[in-house]
Amino acid sequence: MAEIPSLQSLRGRVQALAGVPVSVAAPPEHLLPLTQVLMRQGWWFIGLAPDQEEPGAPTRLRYLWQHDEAPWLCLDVTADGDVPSITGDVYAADWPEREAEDLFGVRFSGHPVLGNFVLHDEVWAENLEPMREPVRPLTPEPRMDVERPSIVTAPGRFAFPIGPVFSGVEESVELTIETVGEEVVYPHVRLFYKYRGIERMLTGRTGADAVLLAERVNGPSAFAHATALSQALESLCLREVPARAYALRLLFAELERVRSHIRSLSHTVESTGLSLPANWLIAAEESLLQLSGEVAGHRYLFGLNTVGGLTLDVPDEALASMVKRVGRVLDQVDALYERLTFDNSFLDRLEEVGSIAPGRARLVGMVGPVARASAVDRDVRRHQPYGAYRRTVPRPVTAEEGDGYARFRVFHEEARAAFSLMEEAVAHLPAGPVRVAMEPRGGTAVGAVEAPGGTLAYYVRTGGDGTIRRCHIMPPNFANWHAVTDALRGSAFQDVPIILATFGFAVADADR
Amino acid sequence: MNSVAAAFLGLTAAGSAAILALPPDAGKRASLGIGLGQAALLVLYSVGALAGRASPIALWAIPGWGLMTLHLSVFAAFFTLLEAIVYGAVFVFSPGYLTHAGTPRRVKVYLVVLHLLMAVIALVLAAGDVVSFLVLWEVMSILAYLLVLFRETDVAASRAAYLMFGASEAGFLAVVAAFVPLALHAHGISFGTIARSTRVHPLAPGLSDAVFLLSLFGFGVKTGLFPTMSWLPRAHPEAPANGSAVLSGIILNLGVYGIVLTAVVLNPVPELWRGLLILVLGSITALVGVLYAATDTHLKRLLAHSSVENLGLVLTALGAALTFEAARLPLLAGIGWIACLYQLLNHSMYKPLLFLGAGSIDIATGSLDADHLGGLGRTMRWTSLFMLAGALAIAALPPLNGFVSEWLILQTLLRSVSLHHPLPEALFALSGVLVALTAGLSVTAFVRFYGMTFLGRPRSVAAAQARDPAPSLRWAMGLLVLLCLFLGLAPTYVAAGLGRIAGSITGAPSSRALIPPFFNPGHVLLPAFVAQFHALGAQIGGAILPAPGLVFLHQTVKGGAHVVFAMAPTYLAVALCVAIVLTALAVRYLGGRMAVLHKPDWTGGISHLPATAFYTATGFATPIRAIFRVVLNPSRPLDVEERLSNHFPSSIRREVDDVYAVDRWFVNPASRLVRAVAHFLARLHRGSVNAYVAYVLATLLLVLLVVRLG
Amino acid sequence: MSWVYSGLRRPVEAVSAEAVGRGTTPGRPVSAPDPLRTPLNMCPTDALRSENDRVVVDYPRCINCLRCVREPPSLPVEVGYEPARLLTEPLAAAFRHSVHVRVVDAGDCGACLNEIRQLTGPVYSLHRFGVYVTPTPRDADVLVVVGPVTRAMEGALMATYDALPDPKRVLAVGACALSGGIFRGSFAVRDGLVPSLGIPVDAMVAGCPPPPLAILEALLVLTGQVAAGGRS
Repeated sequence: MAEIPSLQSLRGRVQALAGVPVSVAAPPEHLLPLTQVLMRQGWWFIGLAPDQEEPGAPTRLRYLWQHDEAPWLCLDVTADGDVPSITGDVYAADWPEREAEDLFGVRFSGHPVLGNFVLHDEVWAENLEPMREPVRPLTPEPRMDVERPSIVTAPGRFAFPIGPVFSGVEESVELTIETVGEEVVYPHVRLFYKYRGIERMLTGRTGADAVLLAERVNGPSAFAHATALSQALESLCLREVPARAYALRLLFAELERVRSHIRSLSHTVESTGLSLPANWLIAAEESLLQLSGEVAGHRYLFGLNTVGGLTLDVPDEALASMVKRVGRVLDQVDALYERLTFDNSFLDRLEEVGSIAPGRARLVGMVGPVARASAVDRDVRRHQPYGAYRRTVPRPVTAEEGDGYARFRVFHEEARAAFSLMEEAVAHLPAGPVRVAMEPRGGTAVGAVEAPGGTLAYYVRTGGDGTIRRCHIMPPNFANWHAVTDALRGSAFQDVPIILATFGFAVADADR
Repeated sequence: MNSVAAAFLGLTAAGSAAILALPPDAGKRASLGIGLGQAALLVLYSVGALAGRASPIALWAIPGWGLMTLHLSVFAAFFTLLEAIVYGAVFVFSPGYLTHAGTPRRVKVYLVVLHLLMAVIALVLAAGDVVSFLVLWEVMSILAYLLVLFRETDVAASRAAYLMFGASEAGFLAVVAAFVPLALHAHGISFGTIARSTRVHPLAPGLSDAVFLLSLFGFGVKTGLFPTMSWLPRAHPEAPANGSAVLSGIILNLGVYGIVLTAVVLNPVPELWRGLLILVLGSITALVGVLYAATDTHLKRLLAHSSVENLGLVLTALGAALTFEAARLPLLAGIGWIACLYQLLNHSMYKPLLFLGAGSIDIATGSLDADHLGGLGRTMRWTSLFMLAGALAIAALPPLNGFVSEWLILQTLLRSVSLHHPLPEALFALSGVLVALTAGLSVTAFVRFYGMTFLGRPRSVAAAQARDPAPSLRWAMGLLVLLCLFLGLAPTYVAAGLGRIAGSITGAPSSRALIPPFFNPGHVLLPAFVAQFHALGAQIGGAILPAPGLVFLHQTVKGGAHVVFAMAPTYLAVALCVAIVLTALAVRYLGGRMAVLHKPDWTGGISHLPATAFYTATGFATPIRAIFRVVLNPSRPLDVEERLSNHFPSSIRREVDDVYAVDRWFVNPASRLVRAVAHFLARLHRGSVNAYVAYVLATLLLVLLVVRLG
Repeated sequence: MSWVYSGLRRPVEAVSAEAVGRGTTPGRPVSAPDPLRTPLNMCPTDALRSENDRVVVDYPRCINCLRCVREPPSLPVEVGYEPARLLTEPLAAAFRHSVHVRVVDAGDCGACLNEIRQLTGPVYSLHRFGVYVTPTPRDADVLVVVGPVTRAMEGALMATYDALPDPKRVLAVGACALSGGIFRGSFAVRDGLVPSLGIPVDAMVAGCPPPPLAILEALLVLTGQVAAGGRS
């Protein structure tokens, strides 16, 4: 059986560019014992990147694991036949395995629910495996008779389908709630209505073009996506980005975080029916959008990041005034937050709804602020510091209860913490260029950042010319949507929109 | 008159024999003819008796105690008339309905039981003495037991029938215990003798109270009075639909008859608490009944719970009437009596209607679970129409009959200020609240009953393929709908008649309390009344005042304030019709350019709705279940979760095991107590040989000791 | 109640429709003379064309990456937005002050949708023009489509369009809905509201994402409150 390198030895190997994973090859029959060893050693499962290196070759499964201040560990299993499902030990691998099954045709023995996941049965035929070379003809075969899952037997049980077209200005996702009325007995989530095939589109692109596509995986956290992909590619080039670029990346990433968290707060407040504070928060978000537009030329920071740095330098004074303006917006949000936390009708809707216990949060694989609200203290910025975060460390923000109110508090608290980071960074702005030319090189790397929603990782394999051969995105919302079943189960109907809002979800992020 | 009675009894006997002798199909056809004949004769006899032309028929003499007699009083004739009408509908319904149920032999026996039961009920009501009453009562209980036992192979059915019989026997013993002191006191068995004797020399107070309580319990069991009704919602749904119609529409009334017989005729002591007791128990009964009716999804069980509710309302009104009588307020008592009898009358019309409709649904779909029905309005148009009428009637919505009686009951309860006594007033207020709540909940219950069964989309294949039943079944339901409509549209005439019937036992005609004399048919309007009417704020001129006899009006002056109520259901109906016609015309002519678009259902964008994506009756009732947790006490749902592998639930089975409130509060503790005592006694019996030897020795020693000392 | 009171005390000022600035409408590349004939394939979505020695921007394809602004040919950037184009007739006058909008997310990255959400917020305050987002397509007059129309959302989009009563208008918002944007050519998308879908586009607004003001203008053009700027 393959040896897992000891943590001591790995910690010694942490470098400035930690993106290149330590690979441990293992035959499928050793997968389960190795997984158990990793779990015992306290590694975190982040994602499963299936990769096919040559057309016609078997799919290589790359199980990506993370540990504090250690480089990425990649458990490399060749799927030549059935692969045992690790979901018995790592429930977080549930959806990644389903995804690999749909896109690569990997058969996981022991996974009870496979198929009809990324590729909906309404549209696509079975066994299409669109990510494998050679590609089969990808023509849709529409069907109308796809049944919804049904696992509840109870007198008077009925299914309550919601979506994909919701009533407000909402992203497309489907929920089927099994119920006997008033109470959610069991919810089924269906993602991938917005599957755009981005990973397939990334194949064959150059770094700069790929970043433009990565930005549009999820518009509201475009900068995080661009940073993650750029970092992965930069770590392959073995060259550091200028210090000023790192500092600016931090500033814009934290600006995006503040905006995104205010947006999450506004969704939560809106779902409880308090339209006035919700609208104030929407206005606060708008002022940050305008700020982004003025400083970076794009309201959502599109086109700003690229491999090797930023496409645009911003004068120090402009950055300083930007941080000041963020502070003013946050002051308004703080005043509102104070009032909201004293509003009983608001708190009643949030407290003890959608609770996820800490152990459960880790089990289902939650990441980011919503996980931190369930006392899972994981933050890429602190535990695998990258870029300017190696010097400017954010303060930890967590809560214990794991309910809607805990998530609300963490979102607010983190927006505050992000602002402190911005103040710290803007005080010590390095001078110099914001971009260096990068020599393209081949190799495999992982780029991870703390996106507003949580851990966002890009697995990238490039060819010798620097073009992308395979890119796998592990977005935070994909991990967190997996927790929705837990959060909704047993709750009252009228709490469902509130619970969903407290997660601050982005569907586009999960669907890719 | 006696020849009519003889013909009725003769036809019953000969008809029953003929049905037994004929082959099944011919028997069923014969049953229709015989049944209609029986019903016609009974109507004839009842009408005669209502006119006071029934004479006693002597049976046998019991030496020293007087004659056994049959004598249909005016009051009892009201019940036989209801019986005749309900039975008429049931006999029209039965032949077509029973082709779908049971083996031919069973159906034949069942029909005979049905025919015989009709005669026995009539005889119980005609019984003029204690002995024949008790004997016939017992025969009636046995026949009713056989009705419920139709599906004897079904464990639940036979257990329910047994439970009903057991409850009925317990009640019977209590009734016997109540009659014995009365007969001893009067030294005669004739009801007339007893009534005369207790009027002159009432029973000793303690004994009189005991007789009242025993008879209230004995007959209360039969009516489903709280807390003795746990048998009712179990037994009534088990009979075939026509049997349930008889059980709910007729036999429950007999309990009310019994209570009135003992409390008003045989043992009349004007004490406030008696009326108040009936009032409070009645209103609690109504609330418990309606709560279960609003949450049960089995259509017939729902109707049975609603029978509990309706009889509870009847008894509430009766309690109010007796209280007012004891308080020497005969006018208010009269209103109470009218409300009581009106509610009884209504229930005897719409409940059989609904049961027959449930039977039609049963034979069309094979299911009575509202969770699996739905959409029948499109496939069973006639049944749907009749059931809509029945549901509106029982939910007490104008212009149908239920509205009139429930309105009268509430008005009666509001009169409690006249009692001038804080405790009764408080109890009346409490009952008023409970009855108002009941009225509201019964709307929910029957919106759910109708909506979940007939509206929406079918939730099962059987429901999608349902068809209306044969014409004879529709005729039966249609007849009852017409009667409901009549009772709702001409309530003042009905109320006047009911007032006379009540007057036959209370002595005072009570319709005058409610329908002013100058408003009665045949009277001209007095200017004084018009003035009085205006004083109430009615904006109606003398010239266009309502036609005589179509308005309920009652007015008392208390402390300078007018306490008043007035209502005219007939005009309400006319106004409703006018409003509907005007709306239709307005839509037709003002909205002429509007086009109707037919589009597929909006599904939120999914390719097709899951077959089960429709609200169920259980779902509809969930809020009520949550709000009235105290009474309904839904058991904590027990979710049994199965997993295919770690973390993946593959099936969640939710079992609900709710215990009926009355069982929870009374029956189960009592039965636990009885079991504990029995267990203790059984230990004495089942001891070891050594223990018995010890008993023998101890006894011997004791005897020796006694002898020695002696 | 206290919320209402404080809302009255501290109103949020809505921007006027003319308030074009770097924040609300960061800018777009504009056509410029290009005697050097720079290679135009640097545009990731092939939105640059060369016509008569000029670089011309095909806005329905432009994804506002500003690469052509920040790198050669260094086109000038103009603060503002591409005006909405009306392809058919606006709605009848009866809809002028009351028009209901149903938004369908057909695979949008979230930016266009967020801009529409901003429209309903206090800063852009869509409601002051009598435009409302309605929960059901049954009440809607205008269907707003964002996103490149993924295969999985195609059926839902068709169902929504069919559920709208006549007369109805379709507004395509953003580069994705107009041309597929950066997702053009993916096997999982339909390259926007292509004619073969059978959903006729009545108006379109370009941008990635189009700023709220541009979407607002498009809605006003569709309802006939504003004359179309770029009618074609």
